[in-house]
Amino acid sequence: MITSWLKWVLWILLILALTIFTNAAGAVFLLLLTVIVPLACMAANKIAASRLEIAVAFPDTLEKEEKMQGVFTAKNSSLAPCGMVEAVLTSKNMLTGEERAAAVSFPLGARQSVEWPLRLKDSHCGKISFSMKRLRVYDLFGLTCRNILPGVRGSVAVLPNLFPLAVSLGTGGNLDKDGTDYSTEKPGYDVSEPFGIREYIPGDSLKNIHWKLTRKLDRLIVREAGLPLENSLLILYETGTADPAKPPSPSVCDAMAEVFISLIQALIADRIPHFIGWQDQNNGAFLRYSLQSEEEISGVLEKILAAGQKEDEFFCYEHYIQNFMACDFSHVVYITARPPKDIRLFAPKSRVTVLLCQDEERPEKIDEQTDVQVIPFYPAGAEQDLYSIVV
Amino acid sequence: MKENKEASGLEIVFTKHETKKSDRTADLVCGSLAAALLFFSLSGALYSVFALHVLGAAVPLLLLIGLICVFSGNAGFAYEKRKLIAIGFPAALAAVLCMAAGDAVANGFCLTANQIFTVLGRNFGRIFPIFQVTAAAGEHAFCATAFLVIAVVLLAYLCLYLARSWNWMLSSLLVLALLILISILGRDLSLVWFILLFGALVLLFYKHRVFLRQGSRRQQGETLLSISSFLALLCGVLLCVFMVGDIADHSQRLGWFSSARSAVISATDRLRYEKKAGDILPEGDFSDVSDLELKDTPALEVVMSKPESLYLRGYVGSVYNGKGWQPLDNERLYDEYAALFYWLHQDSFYGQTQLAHAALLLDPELSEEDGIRMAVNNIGANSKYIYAPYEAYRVDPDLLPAGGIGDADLRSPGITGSRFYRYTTLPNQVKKYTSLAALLSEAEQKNTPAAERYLLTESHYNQFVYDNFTALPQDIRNLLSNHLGPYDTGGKAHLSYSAAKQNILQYLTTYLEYSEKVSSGSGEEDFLRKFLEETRSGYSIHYATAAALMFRYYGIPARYVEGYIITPRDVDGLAANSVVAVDGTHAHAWVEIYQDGIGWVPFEATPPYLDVMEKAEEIEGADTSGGESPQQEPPQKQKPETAEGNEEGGDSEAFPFGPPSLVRGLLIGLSLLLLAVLLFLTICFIRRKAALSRRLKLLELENNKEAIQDIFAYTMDLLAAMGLVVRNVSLYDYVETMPALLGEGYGEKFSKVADIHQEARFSSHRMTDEQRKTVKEFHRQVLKRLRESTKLLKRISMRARCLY
Repeated sequence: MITSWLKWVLWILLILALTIFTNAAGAVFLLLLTVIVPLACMAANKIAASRLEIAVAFPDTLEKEEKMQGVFTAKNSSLAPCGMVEAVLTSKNMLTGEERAAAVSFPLGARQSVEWPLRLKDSHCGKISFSMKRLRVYDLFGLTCRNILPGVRGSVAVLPNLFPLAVSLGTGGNLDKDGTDYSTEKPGYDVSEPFGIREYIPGDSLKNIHWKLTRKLDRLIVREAGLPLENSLLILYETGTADPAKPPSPSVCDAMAEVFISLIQALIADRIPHFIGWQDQNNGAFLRYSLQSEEEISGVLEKILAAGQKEDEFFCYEHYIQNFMACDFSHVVYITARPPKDIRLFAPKSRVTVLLCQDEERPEKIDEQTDVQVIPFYPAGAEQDLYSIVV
Repeated sequence: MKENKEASGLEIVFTKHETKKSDRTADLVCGSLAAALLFFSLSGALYSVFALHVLGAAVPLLLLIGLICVFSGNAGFAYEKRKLIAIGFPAALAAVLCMAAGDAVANGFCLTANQIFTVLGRNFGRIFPIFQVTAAAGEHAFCATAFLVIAVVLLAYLCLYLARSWNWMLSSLLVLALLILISILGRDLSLVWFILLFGALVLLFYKHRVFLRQGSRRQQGETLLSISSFLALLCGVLLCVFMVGDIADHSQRLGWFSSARSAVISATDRLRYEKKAGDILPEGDFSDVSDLELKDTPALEVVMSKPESLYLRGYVGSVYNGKGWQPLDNERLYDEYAALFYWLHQDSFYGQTQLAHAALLLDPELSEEDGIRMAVNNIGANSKYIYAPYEAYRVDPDLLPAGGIGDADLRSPGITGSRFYRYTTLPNQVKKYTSLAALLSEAEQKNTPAAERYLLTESHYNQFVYDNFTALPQDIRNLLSNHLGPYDTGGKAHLSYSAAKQNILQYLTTYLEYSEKVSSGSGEEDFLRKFLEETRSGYSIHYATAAALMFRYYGIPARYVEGYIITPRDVDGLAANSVVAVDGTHAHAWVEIYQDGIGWVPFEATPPYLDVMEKAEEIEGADTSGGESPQQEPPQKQKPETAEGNEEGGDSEAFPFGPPSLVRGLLIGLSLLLLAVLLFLTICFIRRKAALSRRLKLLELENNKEAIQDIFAYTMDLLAAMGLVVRNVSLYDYVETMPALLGEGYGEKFSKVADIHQEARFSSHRMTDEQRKTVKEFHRQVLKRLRESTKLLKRISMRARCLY
């Protein structure tokens, strides 16, 4: 802009010199044009800028690696033209933290509308929010610009690639002795409430052998324990990072989210109700949801995809304790990218399983913790690493 | 935050619009509009500036041809089919015309060049070469049209190039050059050309700023039309206001710009020419006269082989305008006297050296061996003028060019004038010019051939002098009539020299008082009237002005002069080749009068200076009672239509387009410009070479990660040179174009190399030597393909740009 002003001043001086030396009507007129036309354009620019409408349209959802076409529309509804419109659209994957910007500049005549095709693609899942970072309107000569902040916002959800996950519940702690609600479809771990009987399979605990029926039927019969439906399972999703200089890579965040959602889906498919929770780093609130059906997954999916990583001195489970005082679940699954510390203090009686996502470039050293199951997995091989887990 | 370039995760980018058929139409319209505007404005302005209408060329045909060139060329670029034909067709036609009507084109060139030189000559008061035109007068219009067709085609191509490349800078330079030319020539162009120039520049400026970036051509075209309409509306409204409000006339009536021009010219002159001692005398501009303050600041250092007291003439004022003196109008000089001065100079007759040549011719005791070599070092005086005595006779052609029109003074070349110069002068002839007049009478009576030839030449010059330097405004004539008494020529050309001098001196010394302090007035009164009737006091400039006008009143040609005097006391006892220090106290103004047959001689009219310089003694019998009317008006020699050599082949004007100083100066300037360009290019080349060397070193870095990124970036540059259009898109978008660019199988190779590059750039993986080797091999293959597939000229260009 400074360059434009300099050029304008130089041009005025030149025409002034021409006028002085020729004293011609044409030169006087040219001087008039040189001064007044840019001033008029500046005024017109002000009008045009105030009547500029911007819109960005994208589909709601997107698959990973899928190229999606959106449209950026600018409309000038005034009678004055815009010299140049400079727009910078930013997009941020709220899950992985990646930010990108795209810039475009174009002229816009009076009563003219312009559509620019936009292409969006992400190789990681997450909720992509986009907004207009900068919108400047320059007059025809680039002498002035008006900064506008149109309230253009939107989001696109890049859906995760889910994979089948076989989840078995092992013997859990924190049994609720007063609980009455048991699953009628799946056996569990609560021996006080039998689910059913079956023949002995090598590996079954000897304690579960039903001796009476065994004598009667002359073959080994075991008693299957019932599966309590309340307080059976809590899945915690870690959104905090210890070192802001080394946040989890986008592929790690992507893998964690996919494992999280795949696990949820597997549990819902097995009709195992459970709770999920994570610390919302944007609002500073701990979110906990109870999931029992597919419909409920849809409700929380977008929130999960927007659960981005941020520096946090507390672990997710510590936030849980701060909010809910105690953890009385029998099973706790903790999905994280940073090795937990003292998690046993959080759930002293629960069966704790840590699904630790490792960055291939920076594998974390895993502290040996007694009676806490740590299952490491890598982003590239999450499906293989977690094909069948017992939590 | 990264601008999207080569993201492996999130990627968002504005994609390019697909080129549609309607885009080409928009491209054609946009390009043609800008090119046409530029063409019209430049051609119209040049046509008007040089007044080419006198040639009688068929202007509508020329405009049509220009427009055809513009549209045809734009169509070729826009549609790209038969591009060469569309663009080359007009040029081919022009070439055919050249061959078919070569004589007409050549004559047209000569006619056009002559007209241009005429305009320049009228503006600068110089005689420029005239080209020989062999066509009959009735064919001139055809010849001019034939030549201007070529010129129009070339101009149209230039405008086409500027519009296609949207080269705002070059267009501005062209328009700037044109505006400077208009300023220098002081031409009054029509409003239309200014409006078109403005419109063309605005379009090009705007396009340069915006359109080269992004967007479909159709959209650009629509926007351009919208913006053009807006600007046209704005300009139309302003034009109406301008015309209705009569703004131009109003500004002229108030004299805003005239005053500004005078101020700017004065300031520029002061910057260019003057030093401290130079601003003592007003150079004929009496609008702001103040007290005389002669300071002893050094002005000139004069070295003479034989020290003489001399009048050193500087500024000469020819026309009195009430507020001072000004030179004769260059246009009038050129129109009426170009031929006269051409032939006078052919005969080696110059008004500035007439006295010396007359003396050498007439005085038998005088010869060229008596010449005094003089060198002047201008250390503090105004360098716009060459200070030379009346007796100078051998002067550098740069100071006294043969092509000059007029005889007032010597030319001081250069932007800041000349501060050191030499010439040869005779001993003081001013003190004995009356005896020269007597000798002239004798020679005339004896009819000596030399005298006859001299007198014949002088008679033409004499006519010029009487026509131009005896003029008086009527109010001044009336004023002087009141003061000097009525004067009737009584059939003679003028009062006798002695009577006139006596009357004038008597009046000036009796009724007026010398004073170096003057009262400042409103600046609106007539200078002479104020001196004679109000203040009745003044100093040298007042007395010199009054005397000059009084001589004119008596019919004697006279002019006002400012300069320096070397007095007899200054040179008394001085050895040869000593430096005579001329300071500000020697600055003086005097009147010079034309002595028939002898030339211009100074006359002292300021009382304190009457006895300072040696005066001519009145010699009995001298032709001072003259007043004879000039000799019978001889047939006016016309400027030759041709400048061909005579049959004896001795005429140095056989080839009329000789290299005058101006052309030499232009050639030197052009050479310097070429040298500067060459130097610039050399520096650019050296820098690029150094940059290439640094780049090649980066490829050998130990760190594989960095080396891979550098090699890949270099490879992309090579691919861009091969024709890959690098856009703001993902790398993988280029995979499809690799087979066409490099060959089969290169798509996969590029994809693999891109993967390695992405990994090196965005991940924290350690890169292996194997990966580096892969990228380097790909780079080598690309370079090999580049060398094999590009043509020689392009390879040379790439080498010059130090691409590899």
